[in-house]
Amino acid sequence: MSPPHHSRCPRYVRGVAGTIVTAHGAWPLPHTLGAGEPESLYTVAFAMADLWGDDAEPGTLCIDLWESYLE
Amino acid sequence: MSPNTDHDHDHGHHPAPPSEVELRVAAIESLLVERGLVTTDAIDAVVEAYEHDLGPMNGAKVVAHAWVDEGYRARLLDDATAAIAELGFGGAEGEHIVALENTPKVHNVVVCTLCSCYPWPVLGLPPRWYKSPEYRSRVVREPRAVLAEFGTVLGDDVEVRVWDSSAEIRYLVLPLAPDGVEARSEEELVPLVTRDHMIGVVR
Repeated sequence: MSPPHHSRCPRYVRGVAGTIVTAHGAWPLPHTLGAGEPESLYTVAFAMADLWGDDAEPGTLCIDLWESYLE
Repeated sequence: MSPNTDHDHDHGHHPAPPSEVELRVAAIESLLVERGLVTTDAIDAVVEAYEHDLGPMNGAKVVAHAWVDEGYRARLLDDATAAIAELGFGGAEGEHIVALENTPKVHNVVVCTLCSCYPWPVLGLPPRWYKSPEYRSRVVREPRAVLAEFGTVLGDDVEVRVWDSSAEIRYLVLPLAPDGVEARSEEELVPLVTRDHMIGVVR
């Protein structure tokens, strides 16, 4: 994932498998400056080891991502 | 060594010159006022609000209320924006707040890796370190190490959950109630709740 426009999907979660833990309904995408069609937003949980490798601290990282950020 | 040669000019009678940012802000403010786009009263009211009406004292009231009132606690965890509005708090950067419950087995900590998103109505404006590249990059990578630097050492049986505020939702940590919470009044509990508890760098 390497979007041509502004994105609120930080690189450290791109391409990593996570689990949707909460659905927040539909929200405008940041790069549309509020003018585009709202899109589903989810809180996605990632295992630290999946983000950072075998020497990662144990734990979970949760982040809010729009539907089109997910593969 | 005479006192005169030891005079380092550091006793406040030579104030530092304003920074470039301060000068730029002052210039923009005077242009806006001159052109009638804002009034100085309006600017003063905003500054006043951030100095006196917004800040972690609001969040502390929310937390203390949740500690003593089970029904409120449930409402806060179900819909924090509405529960916080019950106490009269809300507004910009607080339109969609989610409360994160610390438990004996879970510790939550909040960051905004992309900028400095922060729940203004309950915590005020973020501290400088919250906006620093160091905190933002490290707390997602090694939260336990960062928490330890804040004096927060967690047992291996406690799961750390880091919340990166990447969209419009703002997060407020609901800390563990102190021992003996039943014996204390809500008013006594409020001062025990700090900004750092509600960001989650202190447990």
